Amino acid sequence: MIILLVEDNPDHAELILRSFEEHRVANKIFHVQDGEAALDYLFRRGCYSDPKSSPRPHVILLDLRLPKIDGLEVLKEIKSTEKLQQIPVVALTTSESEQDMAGAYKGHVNSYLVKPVDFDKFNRLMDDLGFYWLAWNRKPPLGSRVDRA
Amino acid sequence: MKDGYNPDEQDRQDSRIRTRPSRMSLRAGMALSFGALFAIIVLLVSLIRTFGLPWTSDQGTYGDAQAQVLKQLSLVANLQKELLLHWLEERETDATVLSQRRVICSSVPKLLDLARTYADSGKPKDGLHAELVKEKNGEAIAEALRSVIRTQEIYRKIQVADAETGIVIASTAEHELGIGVSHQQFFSDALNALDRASISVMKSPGTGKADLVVSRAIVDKSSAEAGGETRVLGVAAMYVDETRFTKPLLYPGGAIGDTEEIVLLTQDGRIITSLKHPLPNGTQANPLEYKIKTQSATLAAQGKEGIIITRDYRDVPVLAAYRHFKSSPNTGWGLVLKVDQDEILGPTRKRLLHASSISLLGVLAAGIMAALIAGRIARPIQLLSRTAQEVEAGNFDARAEVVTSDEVGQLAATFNSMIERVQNWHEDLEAQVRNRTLRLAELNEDLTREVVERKHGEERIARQNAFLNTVLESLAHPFYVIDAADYTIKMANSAAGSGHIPGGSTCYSLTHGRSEPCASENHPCPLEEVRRTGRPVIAEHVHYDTDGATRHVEVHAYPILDAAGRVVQVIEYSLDITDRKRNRQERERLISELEAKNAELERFTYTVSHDLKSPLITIKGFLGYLETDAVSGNLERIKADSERIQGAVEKMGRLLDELLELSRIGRIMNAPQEVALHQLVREAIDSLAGRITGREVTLDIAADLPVLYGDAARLREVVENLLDNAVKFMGDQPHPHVEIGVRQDGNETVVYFKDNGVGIDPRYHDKIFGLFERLIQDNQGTGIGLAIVKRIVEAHGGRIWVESEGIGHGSVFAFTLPGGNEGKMGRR
Repeated sequence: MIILLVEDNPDHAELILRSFEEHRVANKIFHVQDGEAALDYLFRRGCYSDPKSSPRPHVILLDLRLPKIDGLEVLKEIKSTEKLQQIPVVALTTSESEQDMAGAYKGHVNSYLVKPVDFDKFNRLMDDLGFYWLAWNRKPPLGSRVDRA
Repeated sequence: MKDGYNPDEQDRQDSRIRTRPSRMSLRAGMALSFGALFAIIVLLVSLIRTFGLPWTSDQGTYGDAQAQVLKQLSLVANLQKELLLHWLEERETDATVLSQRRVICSSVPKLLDLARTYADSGKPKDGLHAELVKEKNGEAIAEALRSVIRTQEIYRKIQVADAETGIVIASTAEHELGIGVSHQQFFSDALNALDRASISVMKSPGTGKADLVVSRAIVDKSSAEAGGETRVLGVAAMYVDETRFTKPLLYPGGAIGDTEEIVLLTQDGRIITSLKHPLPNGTQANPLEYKIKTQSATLAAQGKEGIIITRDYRDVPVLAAYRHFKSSPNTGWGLVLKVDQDEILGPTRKRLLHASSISLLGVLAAGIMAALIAGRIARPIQLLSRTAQEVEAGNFDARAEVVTSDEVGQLAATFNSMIERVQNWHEDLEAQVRNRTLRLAELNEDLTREVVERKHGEERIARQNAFLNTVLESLAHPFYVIDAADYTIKMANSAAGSGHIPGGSTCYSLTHGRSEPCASENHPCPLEEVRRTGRPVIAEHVHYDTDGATRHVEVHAYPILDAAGRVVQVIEYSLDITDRKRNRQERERLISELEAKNAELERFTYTVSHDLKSPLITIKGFLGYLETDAVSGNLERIKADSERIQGAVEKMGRLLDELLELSRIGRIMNAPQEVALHQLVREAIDSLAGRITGREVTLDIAADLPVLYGDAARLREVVENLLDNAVKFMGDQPHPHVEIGVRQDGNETVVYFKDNGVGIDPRYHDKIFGLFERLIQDNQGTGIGLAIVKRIVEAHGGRIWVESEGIGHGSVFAFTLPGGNEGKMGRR
């Protein structure tokens, strides 16, 4: 199971990674710090041009407030690209702004999660999140095509 | 009609009074008319009595008599017909009886041979005659025939002829024996109808009169009874003189009149009986020769029956009844019974003549009487007429003489009283005329007074008009009265420029410079609407004043109605609402600005909460891990996690400080002052000295930096922030260098901070000035610094931007402040 984590705050990234590690959620997590890096990874550009260094993730955890390219922009890029749009994108952010939520869902986000301030809750969310997306949720095999009318 | 004389009118009145001039005097006229009336009545009565009333069932005595006679004629004719038929039947019986007598039937065959022998041999007839005379059988038959004549005195002679040769073989007249009769009508009639007698007429050779012949075939009975063929032996013929049956039979006996006559006719219209009167040409008609052609005879001969009023063979008018009957199965006879019309209607005519002569006498007598009476009536009327003429001439004192006490007398009295009343009216009228004249004089005086009053009224109205004009002139707003029909300006006050308006100007040419009425949708003509609705209208228009400046005006239009409620004129005045409108627009601008500020604030609040929450999550998260670290005794992790917590807390403190700073900008401003940029740069270098030397950054500061004008403390912040950023984002540059200088961009003075650091992707040039926007994630930057810088520059009315070709090309932060041209940037 591969997760792409897009998180600008290194502390938060550390918290998430640690939580996943403890709950043995994924065997591989790729972490990028801004929107530009996330798109480079997905489109295999720049330092991610080698496919071995950028395998297709099964789920993308996306912070919304990102340096350079905003999270919503990244979401829009993903969902308007045919080979990427099947990848579930989960918004994971501190923002409880209705505008952000509406924007995310308008951009076809698959789930919207707000980081809990409480440590236990944070841990439980990470546990549930991993379990839900990587165990319960069914997805088509990577690379399968969808014919568009 | 005035008192002038009008001849036409006079004539018309005269013709009404005078009677039309008459050729006869009243007396003669009355005499004649009364006489004529009497005569006409007498004549009419007698005519009606005689001829009856037209279109009614009353036929009068004439018609009655005629009908009576026709009825009698019809009756007698029927009787005669019956009588004749009966008589003829008797004769047929006689013939039948005779033909069947034994003596004849047995004797005839014996004579036949003799006759036929002669006929065949062609011997002379005299010989045959002699032989027949001598023949015994013939004598026997003759004896039988004679006995018939003796008993029935009607018959003149009877003969028997051979059926084959037609030779007379026996006869009561001996001299006829041996002659042939086969050519006679009766002979063939008898042979054609063997089982009955036939009757025919023929002319008697001796008298020239008609003979009636009854004939019958004599049949051999024995052969008939034996079943063989019927053998006809001979024909018996019995002769009757015409007179022998017409005299007794056809004499009506004068029951109807002296002129009555019966005429018997054959089927082809020849007379059988002789006529009573000679023909119109004076000759006597011969029976069986003369063909009668009158209408009645023709109808009877044709087999019709009826009554008729017609003319007879003498061409004399007659009433007649005509009948038809069969004398034998194949032949018919006609019978006409007639009587002269004169004999029947003579007395009636005579009565009419008497009545006429009486009426003539009546005419005379009535005429004389009428003349006398008319004279009596006419005299007083003549007197009355003369009086009337006098009155007409103007003599109202004339009075008619009342001669009699009858209607005419009363008329005269009435006339007199009428004249009296006319005389009174005449006097009244004159009095009235005098009164009227007086009244007229009074009215004239009144009128004069009224004229004076009206003049006063007009003066008053003129004063009022002047007052109203003054009121209108006092108005500061343009005021017009406009004709609703053609939009010409009828009145305007001086605010509307009344002194400069040419006569006949229209509102659209004056205020809009148009050649036709306004009709655009966003500039509708208020007049048009007032005309249509009849109600006041307020519209907003854009006008241009004499300087060509736009003026917004509110046009008020108000209808002036005529008595019928139609809009004839429109009052129009306009209010200049330019200022009002400008104020409103200003207010709207402020409101929208405020709304934008509000939205920004909202965004700000969300962002702040997000960025404040981030360190909290870090703090709480690593505090959680500190516990497990402590339990596991992993000291390295405890240190690392504590540092993370430390960093987050510090960042939060910085965040709060900078937010406070940001909120102050624009809200709390120090009094503006002149401050040298050079001075500010120096101060910034001093405060950042540690970092600059630590990174070995070389600085190049231009000497001609301008003097700024503004809040010195804020401007120092700008310089410090820009310098700090330049030093901070040097990346792995081995020769960090920062240049602070000034340049002219067109007419703008631009201050710039140029470095050879990491540079900025052109995509993010705008973004970096946003609140909490960072391009590089570290624990130092809060993402507020450039936002503060931008806000300060903009608070001073300037602009700030970044110039960089991208990563690795370094960057230039440049800003400009207003008033930079005078060497004092920031002075507005």
